[in-house]
Amino acid sequence: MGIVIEGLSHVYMAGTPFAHTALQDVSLRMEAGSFIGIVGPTGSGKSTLIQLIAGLLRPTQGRVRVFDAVLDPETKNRKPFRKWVSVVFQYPEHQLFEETVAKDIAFGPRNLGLSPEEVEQRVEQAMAWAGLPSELADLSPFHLSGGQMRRVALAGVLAMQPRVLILDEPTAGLDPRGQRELLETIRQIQREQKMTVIMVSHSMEEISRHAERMFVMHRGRLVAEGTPEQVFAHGTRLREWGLEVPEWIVLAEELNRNLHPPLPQGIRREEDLASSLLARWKEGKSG
Amino acid sequence: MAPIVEVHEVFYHYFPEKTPRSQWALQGVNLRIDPGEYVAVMGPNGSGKSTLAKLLNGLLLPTEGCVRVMGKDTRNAEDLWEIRRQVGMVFQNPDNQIVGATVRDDVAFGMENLGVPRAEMLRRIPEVLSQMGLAGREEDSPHHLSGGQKQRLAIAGILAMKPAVILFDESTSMLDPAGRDDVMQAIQDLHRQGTTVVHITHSAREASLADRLVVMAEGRVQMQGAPGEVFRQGERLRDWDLEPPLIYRLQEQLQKQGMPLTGTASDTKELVNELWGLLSKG
Repeated sequence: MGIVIEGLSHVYMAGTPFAHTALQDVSLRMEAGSFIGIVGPTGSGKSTLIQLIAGLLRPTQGRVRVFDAVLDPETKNRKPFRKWVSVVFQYPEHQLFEETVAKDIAFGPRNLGLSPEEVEQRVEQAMAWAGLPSELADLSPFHLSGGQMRRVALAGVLAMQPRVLILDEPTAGLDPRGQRELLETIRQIQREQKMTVIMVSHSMEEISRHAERMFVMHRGRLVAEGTPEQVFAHGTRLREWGLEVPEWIVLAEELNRNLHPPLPQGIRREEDLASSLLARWKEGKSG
Repeated sequence: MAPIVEVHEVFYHYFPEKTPRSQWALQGVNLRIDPGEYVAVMGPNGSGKSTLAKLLNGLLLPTEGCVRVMGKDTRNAEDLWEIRRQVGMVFQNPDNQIVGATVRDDVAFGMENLGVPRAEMLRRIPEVLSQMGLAGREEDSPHHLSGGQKQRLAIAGILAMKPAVILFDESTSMLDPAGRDDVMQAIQDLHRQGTTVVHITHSAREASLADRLVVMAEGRVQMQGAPGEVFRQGERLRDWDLEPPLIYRLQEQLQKQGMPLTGTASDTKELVNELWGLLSKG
């Protein structure tokens, strides 16, 4: 098992009048090499959870195990987490700062103390993984399009060659095509590099297309988990957890008010809704 | 009825001398917007939609052609202040639009620039804040507001300047689903109260709420009409990397597979009724 979390809680500013419990008694497992989706409304504890997995915060209670590194309230050495887990935060292109794309991507690996040759090799590799043409290496990142700037930021993280890649709303603010293409790139990295990918997203559409397993956070607690089909089977209850109910689920539930037998619960994608409707119609015609 | 905004044969490029005409951002845009209308604009990145938005309130001036707001040409420097007051703009990033240390100061900022008398400011602030559902938050720091509330605050600041038109340039794209609903509700309320609304968006679902949908691509208006009419032309939309909302996609897909749908449903209820009819016939 790649990531094991047991009884994890986190309180910000504990012991002060401003104490705020962001995460409460969360236990979960994520398989190494899988594509994981985390959903939940703003303030549900998603960001706290990913920062704990990345070892950027120390838990108030419970523990996080990433491969054989352990993080608990007593942990002093969080270095293994820095090495294995990397986070692409929201709007990561705001953190670009170097004169050229290659220099920006090289910043992380250079800080690892690698030789110039190794750094160069990592930059080339990371650019290829992130889908950046090598001609961009000597350009200023600030002259690129928004979508390309985001890929440069992603490459900077990939150059650290993490085993776990965490992405917080990676497609926010991109146009539909840019969103689709970036997710395809991330999916390819996960498959080919056997990287564990954890993606936080508000978009059920994105999660349904890519995640093998998803976790639903609500008010600091884990309220549901499973494949997208299993989670979507909760139907309009998703709304009580502050989530957007996928449009095709709304439509299927509406149809089910007057269909006997009803359509299956937990339809993963709109194509699946279309095919079950077609099957029903053909069945009706022949029967 | 005289249009409130009129865009006539507009061509635009940031450096027109250095760039061949075929690469200009706008290449002959024509558009009329009537008072009180609610227009959505969709288009892929680079289609010129944000350039168009900046031309509508004189932040940019056309390289060729003209833009008129309430009959005033944006190229007349003496009318520019009035045009900018009449056409308010809400941008994408809520954090980049906030200047005040408190909600009240933030709303006052635009009015101060216009030289609105203090007594009038004190009258308008509570009015626009309650209109945007922020009554009682006057003393709060804007940084404690949610993303949706910050956008509502930006709208309140614009409303206080009493504009005729409000332009939303991807104002929902950085918000979470709750924030998006919040801003979409505000847009619909403004429209109902008579404000002319132009909403640039990547979301087909949001665009379907407008009276009219304009599709921009390659620097021109490529399609326009009632959202339902435009969305029923899935093939053409896909030429521009755009997708219609789910109910249109589903009708298209099912019809292609031979299901005898009329293809005219424009909301969930209509589609569900039609499907019930087909699936229960047996």
